[in-house]
Amino acid sequence: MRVNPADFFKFCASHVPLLRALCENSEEERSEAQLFDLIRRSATEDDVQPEATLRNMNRLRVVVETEQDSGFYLPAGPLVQMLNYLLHEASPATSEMVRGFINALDHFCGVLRKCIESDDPTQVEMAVQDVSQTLRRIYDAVSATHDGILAAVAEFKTDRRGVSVQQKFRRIVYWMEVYVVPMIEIIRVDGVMEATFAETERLLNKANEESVFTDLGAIDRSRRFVRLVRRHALRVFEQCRKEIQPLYQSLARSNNIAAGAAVALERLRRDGLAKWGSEPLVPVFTLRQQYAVSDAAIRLALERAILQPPEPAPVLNLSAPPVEPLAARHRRWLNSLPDRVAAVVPLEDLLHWLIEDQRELETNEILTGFSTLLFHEKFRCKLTNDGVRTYETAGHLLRAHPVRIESAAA
Amino acid sequence: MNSLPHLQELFEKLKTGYHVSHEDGLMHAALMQRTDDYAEFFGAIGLKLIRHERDFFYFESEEGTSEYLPQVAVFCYILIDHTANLGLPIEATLMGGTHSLRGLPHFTLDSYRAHLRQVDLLEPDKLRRVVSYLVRIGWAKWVSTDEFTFLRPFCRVVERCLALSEHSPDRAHESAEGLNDDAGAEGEEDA
Repeated sequence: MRVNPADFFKFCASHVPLLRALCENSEEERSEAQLFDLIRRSATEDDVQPEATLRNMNRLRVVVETEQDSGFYLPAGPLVQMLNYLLHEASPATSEMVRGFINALDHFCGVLRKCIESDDPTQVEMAVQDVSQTLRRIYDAVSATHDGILAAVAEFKTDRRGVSVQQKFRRIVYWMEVYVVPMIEIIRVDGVMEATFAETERLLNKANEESVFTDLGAIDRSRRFVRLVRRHALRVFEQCRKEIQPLYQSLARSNNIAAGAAVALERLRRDGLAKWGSEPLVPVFTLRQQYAVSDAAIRLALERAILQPPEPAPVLNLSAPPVEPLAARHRRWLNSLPDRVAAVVPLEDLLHWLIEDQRELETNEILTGFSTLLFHEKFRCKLTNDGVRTYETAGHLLRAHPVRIESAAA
Repeated sequence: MNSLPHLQELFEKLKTGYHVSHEDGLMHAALMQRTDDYAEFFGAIGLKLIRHERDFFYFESEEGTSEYLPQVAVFCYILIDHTANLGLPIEATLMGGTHSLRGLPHFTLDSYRAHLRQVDLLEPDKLRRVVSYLVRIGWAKWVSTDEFTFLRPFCRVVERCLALSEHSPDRAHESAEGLNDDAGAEGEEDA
C-alpha cells in the first residue's frame, strides 16, 4: 500500500510532539489504549478525535501493527530513522553492524569479479549498484556512530544527575569498548575495511579498463565513493577519539583518585588506626629541634673557648690519709664527751675539766664542747658561788665564773 | 650565600612543615628564581628542599610525625570520596571552589562518622582545627571565618590517592588503549 508523501508529511508536521513521544521508546509495543492516551496527551486544539488520529496513523503507516489484528503497534522503522536523522539523535552503529556491511561489500565484490570474468554487462551493472548501496550504508553507519557518540558525550558532560565518578567512568569505558575501539580494528590501514575497499576499487578499475560495463560515469562515481567513505571513516574515528580520549583520561584520573581514597578508608575501617600505617599519610616536615642555635649563642661559646683555654682536670687523691684530720678528731671528741662526763659527774668546774682533758685543743673547740654539755639533756648545769677564775687554753686566757655539772637524773 | 633573600623568613615557615606556593608572593618568587641556591643552603644543615612539579616548595620528611596527619588524611579522603560519589570532577571541584565548614559532608554518613571516630574527630567543631592545621602548612587558606579554599600543595593528597589506587581492583589505565594517535595518524596519511 503506497502512501501519499504530501499527506504523510502534512500529518507529521501537525503531530510533531506525538511523533517524538512515539519514537522515544521505539522498540516498545503499545496497545490501542496506550496510543489513545499518547494522542490525548500530545493533542493540539485542532485535533480531531483520538480514534480518527489513530486511523490516520495506520493509513499513513506512521505505526504498524506487530501482528495482524493483535491490537499492538510499533512506530514504523523508517519513521524512527527519519526522526533520528532530523533530530540528530542517531544511534551509533556497533562494530558488528559495520563489519556486516563490509562483509556484504566483500560478497558483492565477489559477485562483481565473477560478472567481469563472465563478461556480462547487465550483471556487472547490478553488482556495481549493489556495491554503491553497500558503500552508502557504511557511510550512513559511520555517520550515525559519529552523531551517536557526539550526542552521548554532550549528554555526559551536561548530565547533573547523582552518578558517581566511578559509574561515569564505567559508562565512558563502555562507549569506548563497544563503539570506538572495535572501529579501530575495522578502519586501520591493515584492517578488514581497507582491504575490502582496495579490492573494490581494483575491481571497479578493472571493469572500467576492460570496458565490460559501458556506464563509465557510474564506475567513476563508485570509485569516488569508495575513497569518500574511507576518508569519512577515518575522519569520524579521529573526531570520536578527540571527543572521548580527554574525557576518558580525566575520568580515569578521577576514578583512580576516588579508588585510592576508598582503599585508605577501607583499610582504616578494617584494621583500625593502630594498623593503618604510614602509607595513607602524607608526610609533613616537622623540625624536632624547636629553636636553632642563635648567632649570639655560637659567639659566646667561641669566646669562652678562646678566653679560657682548656686545662687538665684536677687529680683527686683517693687514698686514705695517714693521720686523722683535725676536724674528724674534734667531731669524734665532741661525740664522746657526754658519755665520758656522765662517768665523772658531778664536777664542780666543767670548763677546767675540759681544758685539762684536751690541752692541745683550740679555744673555740673547748667552748664548743662546753656549750654541747651545757645544753645536753642528760645534764644539769649551774653557776657556783665561787668568784671569777682565770682559765688558760692553748691560745687564750679566759675569765669566768665556774659552772657545776651534774646528772639531770640526780 | 647569606645574601639569599627572605632566608630567615623562609626557614621559619618551612621548618614548621609549611608549603610555600604562589600565595606567598615574594618568598615564592625568591625560591623560584634561586631554587638551587636555597636547596644547597638548606642541604648544608641537613634539610632537603623539594620543588614540586606544580611549583611549590617544602622540606622533605621521611615520615609524618605530627599528630594531625591521620586526622588530615581521614578529613581529605572523606572529602574526596564524597565528591566522587556526587560524580563531580574531583580535582577541579576540590581545588577550584570554596568550601564551607558547615557544608562539609563528614558527619552526613554513619560510615564517615566511624572513620572520624578512629582519629578522634568526634564533633564538627574539631574539623575547624584540622582546616586550621591545613592553613598552617600552606595547603589551604581561610577566605572567611567559615569558608576556606584548598591551595596547590593540596595536590600531594591527590598524588597519595593515586599511589594508593595501585592496591585497588578498580584502578584504570590513564591512557586509553587503542585510542592512541598512531592508528589515526596512519589513517590520515593514507587518506
